[in-house]
Amino acid sequence: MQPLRQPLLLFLRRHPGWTVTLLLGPAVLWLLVLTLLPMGIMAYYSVLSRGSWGTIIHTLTLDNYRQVADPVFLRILGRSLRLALLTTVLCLLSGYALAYWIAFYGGHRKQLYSFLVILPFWTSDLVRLYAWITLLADHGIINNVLMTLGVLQHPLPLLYNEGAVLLGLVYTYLPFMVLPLYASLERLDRAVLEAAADLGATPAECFSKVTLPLTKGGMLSGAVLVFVPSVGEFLIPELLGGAKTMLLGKFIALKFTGLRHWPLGAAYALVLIAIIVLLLVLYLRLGGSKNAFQAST
Amino acid sequence: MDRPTRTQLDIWTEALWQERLTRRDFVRRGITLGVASSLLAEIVGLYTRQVAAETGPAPQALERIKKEGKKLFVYNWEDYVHPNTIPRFEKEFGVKVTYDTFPSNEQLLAKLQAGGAKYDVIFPTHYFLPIYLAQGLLAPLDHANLPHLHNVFAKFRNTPFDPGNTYTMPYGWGMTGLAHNATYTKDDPRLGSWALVFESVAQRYSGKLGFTDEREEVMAAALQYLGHHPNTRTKDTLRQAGEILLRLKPHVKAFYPGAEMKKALITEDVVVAQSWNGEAVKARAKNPAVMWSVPQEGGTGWFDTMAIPKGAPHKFTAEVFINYMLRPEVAADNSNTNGYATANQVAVEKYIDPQVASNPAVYPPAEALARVTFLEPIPDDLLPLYEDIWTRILGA
Repeated sequence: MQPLRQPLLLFLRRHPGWTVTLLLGPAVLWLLVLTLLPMGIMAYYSVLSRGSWGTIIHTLTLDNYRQVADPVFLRILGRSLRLALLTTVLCLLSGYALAYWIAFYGGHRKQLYSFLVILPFWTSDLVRLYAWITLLADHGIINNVLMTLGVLQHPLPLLYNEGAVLLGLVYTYLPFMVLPLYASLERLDRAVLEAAADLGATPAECFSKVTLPLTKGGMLSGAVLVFVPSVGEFLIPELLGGAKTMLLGKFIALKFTGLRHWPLGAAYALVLIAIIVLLLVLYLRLGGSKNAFQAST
Repeated sequence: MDRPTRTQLDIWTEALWQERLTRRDFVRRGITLGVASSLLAEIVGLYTRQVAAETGPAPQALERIKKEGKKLFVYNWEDYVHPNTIPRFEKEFGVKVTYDTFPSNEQLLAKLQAGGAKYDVIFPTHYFLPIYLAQGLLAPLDHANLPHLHNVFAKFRNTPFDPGNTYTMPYGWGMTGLAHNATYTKDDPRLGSWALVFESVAQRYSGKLGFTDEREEVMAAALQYLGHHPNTRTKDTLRQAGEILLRLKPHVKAFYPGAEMKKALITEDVVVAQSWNGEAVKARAKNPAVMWSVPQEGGTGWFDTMAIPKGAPHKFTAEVFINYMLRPEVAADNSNTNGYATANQVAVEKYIDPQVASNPAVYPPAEALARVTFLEPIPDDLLPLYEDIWTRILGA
């Protein structure tokens, strides 16, 4: 690189427009190859037809989109949105408390605590979900302990229901909420809080009138990071829900595997993306912030 | 009764039952031939094994394996081979095997259809083969590399699903029937009938009821309970079966993928279940209260095959591996531990552990086998109905 440096700088001085191109290039390429290209392929598949035994025929049609208005799809969409919303709210409540504690009371161990938040990502989520199965099963650790202590006569049905799915969702996506919240709480100017206190605000007022509004950006971005993957989640309802609590991820997967209709599956997937984008736009408008992705103000 | 007209499959499966070596035959043959002959077979077996070990694989074969990079990617069902099967193959042929497992036919098919996953050997079930062949996903096999096919029962060779075994080699077969835990089900008059599953609603086994997550098999169980043929193509009958399952769903613990059923049976999270025989057999080894039988209304049967995906990077090595799996000793080892019957006739006659061979849940007697119907592929025009019913059941 070193010998190239001089001519490169010279070139950029003569053609300043190229600076932007070179700086943005890698990111744009990344977006093109890893986001737009796969979406394009999916969009193409979604207008193809299905042949016998699940083969794909390259005849263009919009039939797949006509089939999308299925009442079962709408019902499962409703359930997915409801569970994703609940997950987001629960993550926000518990995540805010945790992030607040780390940012204000973490002391010199702040780094360690925020590191612990992301530690679970070092293991496969599959392994972590199986750990939950071991904990929650009828004859799992929690029920066994409670029955041995005589608290319970019969095991509690902790696994294979909507509650277990919700628990799995909150558990899996909590770090996505904690990290942006921590970043915005960490950068919150402590002088502002002191000023509010000096001017007579009670601790509760300080929190609700200063801290909360100033960390809105972190809350918004955390909420988006939790909500979006929760809506399409496949693995958690499959493992912790016993395949009984169907969410959209499974619904779409069944179009590919059960019906062996890849074009229809692709159409459903695109419709889901469109719905989520629409909801996000609405949400950001209503949230009154165009800076949702800035961790702090 | 809406029994469909006899298909090629029916004729084939009937032939299977009639020809099969029954347990009684097995015992009788054992007595007439006496201990001496089995000893002799054992000595011959030992001798041939020793010869094989001494001479080892042909140098030309090793040369071709080397050319392919001494690697092999195998994609199999969970818990389906003896723990020594893969290490022994690696040692004998100097190949590094990467061994992954899948829980369902759907997952195997989807992975292959998506491309990119370069597996060399896969294990699809018979009723999925028409899809693989229609989509051109399998590579034709070179029979010159697969001499051990002769060890397989004639009825598992040259089946209507793959005439001439152009693409697949037989591996093993199993049944889907009724598993239950005797501690919980004793003195239940419905024992031995699908009624144990379908009429237990809100009674003894609510919330302790398990199902496989294979759509075809779950539907078949409901159809058999209602007295219909599991391969029925009558739409109203299928909808009726769907209704029964939908009503039962609130009492179902879970639809267990693959080997998960075994764990649930062991821990007694599930005490009555529609289960593959092998999972119940393996569970019984850990929890003796677990029982399995073919219900009086009938169960379903399937056989798994070994195949090579088109474009597999190590095709010759894959054929060497499949041929190795067709060795009677290897097939017997696998069947002795996986809880399922092998398709290998020589293995059944000579090498299977007598305790496994006499286990009616693995090698069932003729009268139980007569109640087993082999599943047929769902025709394309009925697939949307099946899918709709299944989505409604899981999505309810």
